[in-house]
Amino acid sequence: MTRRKTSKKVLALAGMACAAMVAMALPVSSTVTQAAAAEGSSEGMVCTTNHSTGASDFLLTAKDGYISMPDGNSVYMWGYAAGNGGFQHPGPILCVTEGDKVTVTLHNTLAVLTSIQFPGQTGVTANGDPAQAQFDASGNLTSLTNAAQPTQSVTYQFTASKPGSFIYESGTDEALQVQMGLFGTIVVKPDATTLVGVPAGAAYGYDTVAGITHTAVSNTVYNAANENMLMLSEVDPDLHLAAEQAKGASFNSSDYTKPYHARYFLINGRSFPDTVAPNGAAWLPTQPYGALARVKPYDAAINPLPAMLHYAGFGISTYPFHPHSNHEKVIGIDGRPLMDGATDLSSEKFAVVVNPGQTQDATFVWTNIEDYNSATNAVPVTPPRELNIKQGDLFSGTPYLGEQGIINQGINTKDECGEYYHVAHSHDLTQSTNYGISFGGMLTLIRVDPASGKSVTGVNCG
Amino acid sequence: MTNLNRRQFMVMGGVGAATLAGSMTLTAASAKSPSPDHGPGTRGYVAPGINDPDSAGRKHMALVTTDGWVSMPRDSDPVSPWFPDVLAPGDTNTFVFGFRNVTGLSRDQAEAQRGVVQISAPFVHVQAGQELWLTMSNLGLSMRPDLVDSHTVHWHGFRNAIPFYDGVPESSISVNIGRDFTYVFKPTDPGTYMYHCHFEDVEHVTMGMTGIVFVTPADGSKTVYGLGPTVIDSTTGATITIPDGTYAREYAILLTEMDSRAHFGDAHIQPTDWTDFAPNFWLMNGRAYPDTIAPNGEDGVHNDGTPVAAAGFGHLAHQPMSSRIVCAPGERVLVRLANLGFQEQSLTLPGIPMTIVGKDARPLTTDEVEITDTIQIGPGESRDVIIVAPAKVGQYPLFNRDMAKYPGSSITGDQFHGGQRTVVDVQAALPAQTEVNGW
Repeated sequence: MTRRKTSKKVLALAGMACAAMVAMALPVSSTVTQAAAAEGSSEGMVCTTNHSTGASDFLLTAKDGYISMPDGNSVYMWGYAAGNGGFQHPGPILCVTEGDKVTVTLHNTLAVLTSIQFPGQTGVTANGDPAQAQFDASGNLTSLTNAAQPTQSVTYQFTASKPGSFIYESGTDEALQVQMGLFGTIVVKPDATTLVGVPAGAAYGYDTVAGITHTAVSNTVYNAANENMLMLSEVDPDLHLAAEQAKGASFNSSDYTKPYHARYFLINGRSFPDTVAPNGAAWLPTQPYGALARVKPYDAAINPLPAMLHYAGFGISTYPFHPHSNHEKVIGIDGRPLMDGATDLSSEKFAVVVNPGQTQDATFVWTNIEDYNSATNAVPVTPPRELNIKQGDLFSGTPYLGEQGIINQGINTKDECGEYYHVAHSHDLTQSTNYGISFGGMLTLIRVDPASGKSVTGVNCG
Repeated sequence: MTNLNRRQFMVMGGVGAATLAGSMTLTAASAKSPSPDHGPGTRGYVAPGINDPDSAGRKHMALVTTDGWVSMPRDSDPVSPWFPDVLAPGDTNTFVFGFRNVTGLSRDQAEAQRGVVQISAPFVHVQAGQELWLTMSNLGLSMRPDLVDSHTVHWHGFRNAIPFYDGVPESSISVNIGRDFTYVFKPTDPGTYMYHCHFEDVEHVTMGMTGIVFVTPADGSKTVYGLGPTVIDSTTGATITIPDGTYAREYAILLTEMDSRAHFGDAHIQPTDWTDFAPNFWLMNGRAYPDTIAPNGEDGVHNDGTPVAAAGFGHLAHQPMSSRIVCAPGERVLVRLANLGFQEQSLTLPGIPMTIVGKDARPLTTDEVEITDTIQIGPGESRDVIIVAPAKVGQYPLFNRDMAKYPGSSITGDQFHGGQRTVVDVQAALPAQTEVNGW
């Protein structure tokens, strides 16, 4: 957490530098670009796009590298790099538009057969023919889909026929290869040009098709500038060490005989507190995606739209993700809106339970219902003096949004402008740890800034 | 003040309730006399006076936090050297942390509860729109004077929470040993929630600092989400149609698990790698089968704070909550389920359909209602379930369908021993239920 004390400007620059570095490393033949969802943002979903009329083309390179854990451990991984860029984990978030002919070319630099499967997409082709499971001469399954031998490539194509969030992951020896990090997400955005009556600043997660006119699904509206991705996964470091020791040679799940035992639990390939470091943080060069969600209080006039959170589960167990501060409204599962005709079947949950291989889209709103403030509406019970309570390092020193109070000696508060911090984490609390050490792992923060963007004394929230 | 006995204190009524709650007292005062004693085995676990608001319409409740010893079922097979714990006194066998209800007790009486623990934590309930002042006092740990752990109350699922009252030590404040803090909650939405300590959460939660909170509807009806068939959706303001949420009896069951190695470790000053967590008991309201179906005990708020076990169940003095669902033929019964363990569970009730009318303290509409024989519930989730007692008197097991989650007993030969199993006990004629989980 101490990293968050770095000046906001420096953080933003670091994020841009990383994006630029990735873009520059691409080969001439590919025009994959990486752009933040919101302008220059250190928070929010980072889309990788390469859209031309009716098409999106991507090159993903399977390669190996290392990620770092907050306890100082380095973990050997396999991953999908954007274009010919450096190793990264997880794979790029491929943002495409509904109706796009999507082309994904996989180039394999690993020492094993590998592939990509696209759950939720139909009509996927591989090198021009329908993609299908592969078998050896004895009839044994070798891959769930067409694969690329080491140094070879395979090109997949499909039409992104419906909006929503989807996963992509290895379809070869997936018990090992998904665990090793070969996964990412695809976000298919509705074709906004055909939607009618979209409010300013709004986007929709889903649409319906009536004749040739697309109609937004009303319960999926969200703030276009506040879209977040949470890819949930886990790591057994002993398994990864075995893979590292076989580096350069073939390594398959059958080569590892110890019982599987996860020790790290990740959001977007990071473990808390790294989850709240900015996108593209220079000190996390192979883990480009942060998971800090940042909102302002609901206001019918100036902040009427919810934030969007895309969840995706890549582990082998269900993750019971618990956002503090308010329910989240699950509006879509596996790329399908929770609507039955005009009947809204979305549900507000205080635990968003994400199953393996599943995606869930949820919207989030926080309302300052009590509007406690020191001037006109103090909390009903006078708070104890600061030395009678123990303060956390994310505490502003007061109960009040946008106000800062006395912080005890020895507490290095991260509070900038009286903002609120709420945690959001796996409620299998053994997963909210870094190798068993509490307050880490699959945990991130929801930051609530004052509506004005500054404290009552004028301190900017950055 | 400390020389007053509890009766004298109660006579003082709500005088100074506000000032007391904000100061250094260990006692939250209630304006009215407590409800009458019913004696062990006959009542559930709601503090006297908690249903009686003060002159400003607030509810007050006082909790203390401490440690102590509880019992996993007799005739459990040993898990050497962790279970039974060699340090455990009397007929106990397991070290835990917990919350105790001290509402209405004097400061001296409350302070005397250090080392007198309880799991699950006392039920907390409040009506939507009503203010709850929940005072938590940290008594410290009797077994571990070397630990200076703070504690908090995190109301899991509370809507539009502010960090100050959310109980996450890192983003807010926590309560040091010997200090008090009053949490103020103004719940807006009915349904079943839960609460737990969030300090070093994985440890304090699995050590036993977990309980159920529920919010009754603002219309005062004896229903889960309000007297239907239509209610106003508190989020959207829309009128929604909900299924029948009326009930004659009400039971709340909290699901947790226990890894005896971690409990032994905390008693014996040994660290735990929480990613090694592997439970050997699965609990309902802090008890494992067959203790789940034993009678309720008394938590001590009707005397000087000393817990009173039901006759013949002395080993459950610190686990007062039964999970036995007692009802009469044809009665509608509300079962509130919440999971504060670390595993997803699958509960089945053969022969009695279960209608899920709410999830995570949100009503399901008539379009969304689920009728099922098996309920999946993940960590941090809640379910509101209505069942109708069958016409035939008898015992209908409600149990965890995952048969790998019962240690069994080689001593009694009962394969369900030590797991999440209780019964719906349909009896021919019953007096009206007076308190949640009471029978």
